[in-house]
Amino acid sequence: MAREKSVNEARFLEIREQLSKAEHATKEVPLSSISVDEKSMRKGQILVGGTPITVNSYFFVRLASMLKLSTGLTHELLKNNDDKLAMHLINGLKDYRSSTKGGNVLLIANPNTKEIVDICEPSKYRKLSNETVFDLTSRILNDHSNMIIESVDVDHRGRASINLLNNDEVGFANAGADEFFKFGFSIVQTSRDTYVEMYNQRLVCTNGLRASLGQGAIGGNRDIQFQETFKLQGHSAEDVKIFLNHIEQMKKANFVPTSFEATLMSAVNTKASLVEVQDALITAQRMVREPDENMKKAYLDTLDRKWFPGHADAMARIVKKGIDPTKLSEKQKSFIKSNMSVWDVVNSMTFLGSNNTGIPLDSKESLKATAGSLFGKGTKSGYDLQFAEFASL
Amino acid sequence: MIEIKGGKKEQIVREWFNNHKEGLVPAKTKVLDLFQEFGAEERDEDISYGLFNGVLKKIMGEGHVGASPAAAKRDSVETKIMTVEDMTFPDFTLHKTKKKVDELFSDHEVGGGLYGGTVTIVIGESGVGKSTVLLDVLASIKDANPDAKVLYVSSEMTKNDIGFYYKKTPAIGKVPTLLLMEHVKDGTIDIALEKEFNAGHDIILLDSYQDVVVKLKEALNWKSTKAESWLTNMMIEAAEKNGAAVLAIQHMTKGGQYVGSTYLKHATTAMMEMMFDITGQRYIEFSKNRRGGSGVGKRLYFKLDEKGNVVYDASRYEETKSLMAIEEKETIRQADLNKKFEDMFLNGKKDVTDDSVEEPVEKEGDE
Repeated sequence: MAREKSVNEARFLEIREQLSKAEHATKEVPLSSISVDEKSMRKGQILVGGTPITVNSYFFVRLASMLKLSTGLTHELLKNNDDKLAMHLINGLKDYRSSTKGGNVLLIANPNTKEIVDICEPSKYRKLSNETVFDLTSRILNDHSNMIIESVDVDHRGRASINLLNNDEVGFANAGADEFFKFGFSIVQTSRDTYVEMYNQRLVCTNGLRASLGQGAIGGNRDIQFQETFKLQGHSAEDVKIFLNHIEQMKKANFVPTSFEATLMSAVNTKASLVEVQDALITAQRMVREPDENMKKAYLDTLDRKWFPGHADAMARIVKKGIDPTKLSEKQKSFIKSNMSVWDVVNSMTFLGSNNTGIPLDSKESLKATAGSLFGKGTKSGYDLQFAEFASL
Repeated sequence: MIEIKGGKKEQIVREWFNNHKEGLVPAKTKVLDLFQEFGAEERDEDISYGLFNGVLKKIMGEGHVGASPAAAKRDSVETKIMTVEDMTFPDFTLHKTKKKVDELFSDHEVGGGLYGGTVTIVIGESGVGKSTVLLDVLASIKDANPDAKVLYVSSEMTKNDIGFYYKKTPAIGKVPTLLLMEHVKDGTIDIALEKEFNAGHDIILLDSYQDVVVKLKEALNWKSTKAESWLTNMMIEAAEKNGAAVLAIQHMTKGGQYVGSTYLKHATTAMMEMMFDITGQRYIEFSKNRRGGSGVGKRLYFKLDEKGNVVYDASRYEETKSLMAIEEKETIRQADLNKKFEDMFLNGKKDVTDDSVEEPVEKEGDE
């Protein structure tokens, strides 16, 4: 995991070089050249044109998804090392071959681990190379002198996001004296896609938040309508033009989503439910990378007590009422309030994702994205307790 | 020559070979073809295929066998092989309009321009502004270099038409113009064209190729193929020998396809297209250009302002160029990623062939 703050030009070029070298390799092959057998899962290996090639476990999830097998079932079988998954994949491949009459697939490999990590139909691979994304970023910076690269996030899977901010500060006094932000966008590179998403930074603690508040106008200009998360559709000049035009549209509104202030007010004024704070805690805890079990436990406890105290507080209240918290359904937990606001939970996640807290966390980029998903929930389905004044437990 | 002997019919056959085949039976030629050629002439005697064949064999037996027609033709043609250094060329003068369109005409020198010694076919939709843009090109070249000799050849417009056009498009006022309609009337259209195409003009705009072909046919009673090849050869010679830059407007089908001769299409230096895009905006795009490959496929948008001036959208063109450069680089980078995969897993092997597919496995519930 690497994280860069306020990236200068020399560092930008250095990161570009690193990411170009780490770029996932790709190869289009006939589907019929791929062979999976009963031992593939255990060996972490498939045959491509007769050559044994190492794959990671995520590959099988992606393969299952391409074959339209149940994702839940795949995860379950994979977790249990169940041989039935191999059988499902073998039969799925056969069905897929007959329904698509052969055709090609694209294999995506991580050069660092020398494993295949993804598989998809060639038309679904719309990612620009990292080098080209860096070229585009330079171009955007040249065109918009008021923008800076706030940070670059890279995770161990090769996902990267370049986070750009407009230097103008925007305050939301109604939500609190500290609520000043800078707005911008992230260019996100996954193994098969390139997309832009709204990005902002809370100035008081320089927390970065990647959030999509759904389709809508931004910046108060209701003539500017578009998806706040926008995926590149291909590699042609026309596709790149549309992608850049989308960023231009965002720029016209200074990258400030119309619904941001209202969402912020709701997040500040709504208590997070137990399930919301628990999900955030689990997300952060999953990212702890520490080989020493005792140290790891200490880090997990720190996250629980210091960063998401609402979780322990709610659990204590549940136990005090004589209820076994392990027997509560997700639905029931969504009606139990914590002593943290949604905004507190979001800020804990973004702080962990944006700053060095001493806890070794992997994939900070996805902490920002998860925080963004929770924040954006306010404009979509609503927070669990947004309209639940009666929730008392 | 073949000796004339035998019966009357045999003598006729022998004489025919002397008169039409220089006393030789051409090798590798079908007897039936020769007989049909022989039979095409009217004569009193009825000579059968069997008799003809018999006499032919006798003549061949006497040693009168010649080269095949193809070989004979090949022998008669003198090929001229020389190094490029020894060839002579006209001056490849570079004519500049000092407008953005120069970059589409060529890319060998900074800023581009229209080279002498070239033939450019211009196709475009009706009403898109082909004549207006090209007349603007001529007027701009003349503005930039008053010594440039330009000529506009119009086959469609009368004097009054061009007068009206001039009011709408004053920029054409100083462009020397030949109105071919005058020469259609008195049947001197070919002479007028030949004279002007060899008069040392630097740039000649022919408006339009197809209409001139029609007028040549009508005024001189020529066949289409003759009119087309005559005009095409004259244009090519004006470029090749005289160093002129010839711009010829050509019609296109409703579907947007070129309708001229294939010979012309392949003999030309460049193919310039003027179109409306789906939003109704006008643009120029080269689909072929031997003087400027980098401009091919890139759209230069233009507008015709109220004074009839052609206004090019230079910034949009630059944007297109830079986006296409991104696309080109990305294509190379994606190919590199492919190579990286092959090196990593397949020992550099490019092609992956079918593997023996896994053993059949019965689905759950299959019995």
